[in-house]
Amino acid sequence: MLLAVNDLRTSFFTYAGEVKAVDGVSFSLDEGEAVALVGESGCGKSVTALSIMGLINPPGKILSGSIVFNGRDLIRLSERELRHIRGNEIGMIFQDPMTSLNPVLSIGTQIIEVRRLHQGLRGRVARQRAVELLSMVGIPSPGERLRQYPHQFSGGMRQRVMIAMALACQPKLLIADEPTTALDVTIQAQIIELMKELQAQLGMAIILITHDLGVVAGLAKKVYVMYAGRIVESGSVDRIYYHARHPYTWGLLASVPRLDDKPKKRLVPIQGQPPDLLAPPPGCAFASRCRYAMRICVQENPALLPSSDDAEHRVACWREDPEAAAFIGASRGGVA
Amino acid sequence: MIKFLIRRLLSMVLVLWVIATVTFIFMHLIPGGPFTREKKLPAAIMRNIEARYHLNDPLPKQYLDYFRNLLRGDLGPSYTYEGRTVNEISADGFPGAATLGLAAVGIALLIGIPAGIISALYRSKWQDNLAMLLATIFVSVPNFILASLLMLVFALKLRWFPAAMWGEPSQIVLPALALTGFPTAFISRLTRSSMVEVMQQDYIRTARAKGLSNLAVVVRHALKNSLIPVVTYLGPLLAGNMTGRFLVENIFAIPGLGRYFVTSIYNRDYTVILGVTIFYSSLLVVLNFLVDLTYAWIDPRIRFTDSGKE
Repeated sequence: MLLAVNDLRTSFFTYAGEVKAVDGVSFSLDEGEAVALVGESGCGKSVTALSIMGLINPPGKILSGSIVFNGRDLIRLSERELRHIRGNEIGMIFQDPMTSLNPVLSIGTQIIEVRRLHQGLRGRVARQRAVELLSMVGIPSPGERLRQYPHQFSGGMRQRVMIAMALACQPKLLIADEPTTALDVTIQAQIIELMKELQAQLGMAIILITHDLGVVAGLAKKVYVMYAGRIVESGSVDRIYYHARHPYTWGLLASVPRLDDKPKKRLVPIQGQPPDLLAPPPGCAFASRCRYAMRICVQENPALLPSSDDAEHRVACWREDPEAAAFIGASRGGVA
Repeated sequence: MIKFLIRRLLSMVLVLWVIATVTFIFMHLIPGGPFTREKKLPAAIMRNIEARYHLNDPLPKQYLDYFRNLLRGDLGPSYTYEGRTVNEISADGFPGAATLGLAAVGIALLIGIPAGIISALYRSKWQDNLAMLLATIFVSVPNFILASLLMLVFALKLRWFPAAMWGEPSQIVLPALALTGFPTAFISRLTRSSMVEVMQQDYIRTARAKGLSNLAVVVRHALKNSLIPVVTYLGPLLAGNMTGRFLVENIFAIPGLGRYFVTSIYNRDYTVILGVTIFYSSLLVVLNFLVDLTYAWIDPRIRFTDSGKE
């Protein structure tokens, strides 16, 4: 087990009140495994990632839970110990490659900096290694590019630079926070393909964070669907894509455009808005948008439990409850 | 780059010419002249004096004559200070004023930038509140009040520094401190606000995700980006402080340039008005040019191409 996040709770204490951005999230991954955290904006995916990195700033705070990485609980490490892990054992790339690189430092400086910090690599060796990294992520004429500045790179190339930087110290885990969201569709495919190749080559584990189920399938083996700070469904890519049980996951899947759709077919949006995390509803957070909601859905939050036919496939939905199954069975046809 | 420099140089000359011409015209529009006295001089004497300084020539001729001399570097004789040329006056006053100005700006940078950084990093904590309270006080207190206070406390009561005069290094301290109050406060506020903004940028998060310490993040990734407003302010600040501050010079009895600048106007000392104006503008124009070059050094996105700025 490389990483085990257990019952993580991270809140932001704003003037308006406590925002429970991550509210009891648990998941784990093995060495070399790739998983995806999926959900719409504000569901807590990025806060989960930043919690793992120890980069939650005030007014945010990790309230409880544990993040065990390589046998050590990151939440209990000192800032100094965490710094040794960041960039060294866990690399991270971010959503917007346009703004995530420092505009006033050359690409070379920014890449070499990581190696120098964690491995004391300097001078020509460091430059040589940076050139290797750039060519590894598929940047042509890397020697020349090293001296250039971020504004001289295209968006896709900058994301490649970000990946090179994150992988500079050969981390065991790469966290990719919406790595393709700011890119063109064709470039998205290239970046995912690159990450896949690098994973095969270097064997690092990957946490892919995205709102786009379309990019998940190429890379991750396992998917965690998040909604309003909680995991509502998890399972293998196959289970989530073809046997999803949670109405929210259905909604996410329906909102992905498909190549074999009829032309001009409208995308199906999920109706309504995500709940206000300042005052979350008492029951299931998705209930107000769910067309299958029952009375209990607005009263009590469902637990994340193994589904009836696959223990690895877990769902947090009252419809999975044996009693509800009887009810749904009785009224089938009347609801859906 | 060469083309850019040439074009920039030409535009600097043009700017100076416009400033000099406008000053020339306005100066002659003011009623009276350098030799107008409360008690009128006899007409014959007046004519003689005016003839000596060519003030009876038609204005366009005076204008052309002045610029012909200016091109040779001759700023002409002072009308008020008998036997002294404007070149001499500038040469006398500038070194003192420049030393004092540089010292004041140096102190302002050395205190203002770190104070701004600390405020930004400890935003809304006591360090920030204290620094910004001091900044507000020093922005509000005029330099002549500060000068008088400094003189009272450090020269008259504590006797650490001489109260006035110029020449000894110890005599620089109090006037430099008096001049540094406002710019220090202003620079710390500028640094603070741009630092706060820079620290929220995505690339700062990237730097932290690399495992850099807070200090390294600030020094390597934030500082250069957040100094651009300070550099902008530095051009006019240096020019203003190096050409003298009238009140502070007067209080400390320093033979600077500021004094001539002010007295020349009510003396209608035409050549000194023009000379000091041209001197000040040249300094300002050159310093602004240096500021622009500094931008390019700080931020590689600003490149001086042959079509101007990219």
